[in-house]
Amino acid sequence: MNFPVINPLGILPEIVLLVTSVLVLLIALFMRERHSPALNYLGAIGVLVALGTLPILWQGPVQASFGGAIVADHFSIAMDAAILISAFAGLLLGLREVEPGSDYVALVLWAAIGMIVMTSAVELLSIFLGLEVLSLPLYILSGFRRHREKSGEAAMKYLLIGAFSSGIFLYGLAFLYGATGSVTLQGIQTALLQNVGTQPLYLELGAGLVMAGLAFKLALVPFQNWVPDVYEGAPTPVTAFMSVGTKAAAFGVLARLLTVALPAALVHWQPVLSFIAVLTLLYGNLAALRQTNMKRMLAYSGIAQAGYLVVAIVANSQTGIGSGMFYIVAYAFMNLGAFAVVGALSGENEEGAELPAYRGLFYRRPWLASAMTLFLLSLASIPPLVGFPGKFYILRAAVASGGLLLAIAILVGTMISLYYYLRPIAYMFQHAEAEAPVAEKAHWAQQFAVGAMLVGTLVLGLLPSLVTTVLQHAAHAMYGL
Amino acid sequence: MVPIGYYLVLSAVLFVIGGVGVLSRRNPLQMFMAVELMWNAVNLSFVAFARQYLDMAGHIFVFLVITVAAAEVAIGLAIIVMVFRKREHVDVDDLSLMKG
Repeated sequence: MNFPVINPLGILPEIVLLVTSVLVLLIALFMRERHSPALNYLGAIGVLVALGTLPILWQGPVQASFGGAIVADHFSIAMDAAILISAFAGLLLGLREVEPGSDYVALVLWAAIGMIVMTSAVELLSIFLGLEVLSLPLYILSGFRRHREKSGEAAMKYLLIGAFSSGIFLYGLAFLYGATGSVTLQGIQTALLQNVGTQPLYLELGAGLVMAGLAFKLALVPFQNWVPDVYEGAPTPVTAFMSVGTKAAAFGVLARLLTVALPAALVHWQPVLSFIAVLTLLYGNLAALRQTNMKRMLAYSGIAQAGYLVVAIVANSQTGIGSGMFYIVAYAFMNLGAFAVVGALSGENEEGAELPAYRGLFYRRPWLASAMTLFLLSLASIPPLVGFPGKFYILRAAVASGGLLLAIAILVGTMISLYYYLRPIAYMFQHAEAEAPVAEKAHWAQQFAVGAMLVGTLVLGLLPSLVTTVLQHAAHAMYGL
Repeated sequence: MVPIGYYLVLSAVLFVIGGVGVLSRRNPLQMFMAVELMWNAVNLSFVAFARQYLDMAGHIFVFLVITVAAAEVAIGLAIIVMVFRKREHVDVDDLSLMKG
């Protein structure tokens, strides 16, 4: 009997994160001060080291671990970068928002490990394990502010809906296995192309259920109901981390599944996903119009962004996947930045998340207000910020693959979104009549996070070519197999 | 030998019972049990397919699903206890602070 080769190189970022989390937990045992910010710094350093391993992995040959179940190819390495950036932001923002301490740091690191496993898994079992390793810590993190009732409510809703959607996802995996007799994506592709012993009914059921399960995680209509409540109730750093990280991981799995395992079923999934994409981006943008809480508004805006990402997948081309990846990176910078500002303004009761708190903000907190203005303009895809090239590339990919209607839907959605992105900006530059609640001064880590995200938003907005060539190369990994 | 279709139908019936249970029950503990039923229905499908293909992957899948389900229950029960420690009775319809 021969055992599969483990090859630690292919899971290097995961190993770094795991070692860091164990170190954090062990050091916390011997510290007198249980809630020391030093643990957050240690976690953030671990994330930076994991980020540092990515260029090394990129230059070397493709590493396959666990007998080829987990592969660190260029696609997964590029997605991991976005995930690690959001984990880094989540740890820094957690310094003031939640009680700093070993459990918070370890849970964020574990969720990041799950996300990375998801983007690099090329086998159904590893995909499922990645999904659960990502979900379980996030259930706890959403309820991390035990004293706030909303936080507990968010955790409960996320848990019940998450477990339910995992069940659906799992049933889909069972049918894919039943249809082809294989659990590797490559094996499923081969079985479908050769059309030997495949069952069309099982295949359709399997693909449909798997897509529904991922649609829950990616927040696509009609599986988006939980998103606003969970995003509002969870602590702001957790919301920031999970909005970007979960989307990156689910996008990675969906893209890999559809392009590697199911190209033979293209005629089935392409029309369905196009329809869902249009519904999602229109619903997200319309529902965001009447929100008065920034976190809820960003949640609905996140639903709309997920719609744009699905358009990138539907284009089913190398440029499409590449544009989706660029959009994830862009979304990471502008969305994490916006949540960082919300976090910096919120006190214990998160009164800073309500829209009236932004009235006259520019005259009280000029730097934060200016940064927020830029993040919101970028989300509304105004040049020269990173949201603009992001949306432009998706539009180009959609038109190139003949999805003119999809491109029109994106344009309509973007026009609707202008209203709710510009409204807080208008609020910030009005003179406040009454004295608005004043939050305490932002923690330096929050200021640092806002600044870092601002640099990303501006630099990539002006020079998108810095990463586009890399990402096109990464997207090629998907089709070059 | 029992044909595989029987197992799959049983598994589908169990899965639907679980799904309906999640959607119709209002007690989080009962909803959680219904979710567990769904997961176990899937396990039955996996074993049936593994038997059909004479392949070990399906069996391994089931072992891992059972492990993950145990972890999920541990976390789920903790969250349910945390939320309802302050409350009189246990009902998800009371969880309606956030709307819109």
